[in-house]
Amino acid sequence: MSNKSKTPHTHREDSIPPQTPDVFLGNPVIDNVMSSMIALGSEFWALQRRMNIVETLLEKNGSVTNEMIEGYQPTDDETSAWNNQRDRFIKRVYGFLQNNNSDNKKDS
Amino acid sequence: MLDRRTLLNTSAAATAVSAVSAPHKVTSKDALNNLQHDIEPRGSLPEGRVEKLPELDMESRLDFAQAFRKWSLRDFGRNNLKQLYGILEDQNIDPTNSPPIEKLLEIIGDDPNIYTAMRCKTTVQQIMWKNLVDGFHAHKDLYLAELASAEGQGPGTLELNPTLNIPEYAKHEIHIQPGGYIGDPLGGYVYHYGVNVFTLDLNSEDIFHRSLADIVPVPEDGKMNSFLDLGTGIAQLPLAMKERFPNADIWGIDTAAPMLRYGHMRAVELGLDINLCQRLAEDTQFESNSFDVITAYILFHEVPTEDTRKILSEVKRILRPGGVFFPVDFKTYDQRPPSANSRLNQWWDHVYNNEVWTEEYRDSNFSELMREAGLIVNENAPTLSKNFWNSLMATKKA
Ligand SMILES: C[S@@+](CC[C@H](N)C(=O)[O-])C[C@H]1O[C@@H](n2cnc3c(N)ncnc32)[C@H](O)[C@@H]1O
Repeated sequence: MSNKSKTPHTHREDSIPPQTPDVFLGNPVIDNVMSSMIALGSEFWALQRRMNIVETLLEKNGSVTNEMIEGYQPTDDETSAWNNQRDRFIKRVYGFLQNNNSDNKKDS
Repeated sequence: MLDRRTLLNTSAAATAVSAVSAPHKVTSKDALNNLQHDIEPRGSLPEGRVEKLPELDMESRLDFAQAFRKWSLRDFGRNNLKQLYGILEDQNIDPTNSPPIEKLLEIIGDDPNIYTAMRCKTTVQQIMWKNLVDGFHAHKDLYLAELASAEGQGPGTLELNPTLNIPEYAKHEIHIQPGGYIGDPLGGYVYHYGVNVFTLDLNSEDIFHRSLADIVPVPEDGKMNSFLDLGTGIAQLPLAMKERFPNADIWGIDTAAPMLRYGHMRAVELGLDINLCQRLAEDTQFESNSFDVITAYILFHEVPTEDTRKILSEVKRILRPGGVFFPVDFKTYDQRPPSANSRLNQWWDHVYNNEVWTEEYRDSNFSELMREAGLIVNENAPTLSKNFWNSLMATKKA
């Protein structure tokens, strides 16, 4: 084995991570809870989209396999319907975050 | 999903990797007995140019990330903007010409909506990277094997230098990508899909870089035989330039091996003959007067001004007389004073998206820096968006 260089040619260990903690809401616990809540939305959407695919495949073929689900390429119509479904989901669930009770509010 | 043949090739490729020593140069001559490099568990996007992510759920999470980002910027963001501009106008401050960031933050106080929106923007960025890093690393051996096997193949060449002395500024985990450009062997894959989300352009099949290649200016004498892209990343621009100029010698350099390895893998996959090297933009090792055209796309906002100066004098050296330099990047503050909205977004980008050098870049006068380096500046260069990009180019005196 060559001991010329210990650094692999694939990557290095000395990248520098961000230095500022990402606390926006005055209490890191609240920030963390918010992040978990958004992450749950992401997981929910993954399940919903999988469900859409399963339903579509069942309707077309009467049966599904895991391979069919993983490999499914939605049609343009399906893509636009699912985008719409996703955006409505985001507004329905996260629209609450836009409620404004602050003193800074200019007009109500 | 991942078939047995692919798995068998993995071990051969892994052996090839361990045999590598520094500095490492791979050309098509080193071809590793027809290794199948292509691991594409779910096929590719409709145009066939970009592979689908390896798991459906990964693709769906990315789809959510893009939509949620769009919502927090456009829907939520726009509401906040109206509110912020109202507050500024009440204090007789013109929102289209922002006060310094300290003053702006003082005015904003602890406004819950503005900070909640920033939380959303930050979290979705974190979720997006986590999803990509976890997902690609779940198939790590296979993707590493894909990269390793491509290293033995052409078209194109890949020169890696594990002992390259990478400057500190280029080691930061910009965009909060875990490991940044240099620290994750699968960083190229992660970057490619992540940046599409950041630019709200998830299904892009290199569309942006192909459009950019279309407008890259050529020297007045029409001679375009050699091209270099600085800070080339995953080499999307060199690939697109090879398609526009099939007979030209196309080069790209970057400090980051994970990015270049991924770029080379794609060059092999797309059958495009480009040369990628792990070298510094401030010390390219090319002979003087080598290139007809040199580009740098979104490199300079990630470089301290001091080092930008060094890169620009290197550009002047390796550009041939009459050659064109085309550095596409964001507008600097001298080109357009920031509105309150962009000031705030850029502050977020700088502090929370870890764009460490971007404020220093925006405070600089890039035309002036190019002039100082001895280049002739044109402030009316071709651009894909006059409002957004700097629209600068330069030439070296013929
Ligand atoms: C924002 S990325 C842009 C990548 C690429 N141009 C694209 O179109 O996506 C900036 C790239 O510049 C590289 N870089 C930073 N400093 C460099 C330097 N001094 N020399 C060469 N590359 C550098 C980074 O590794 C990173 O890949």
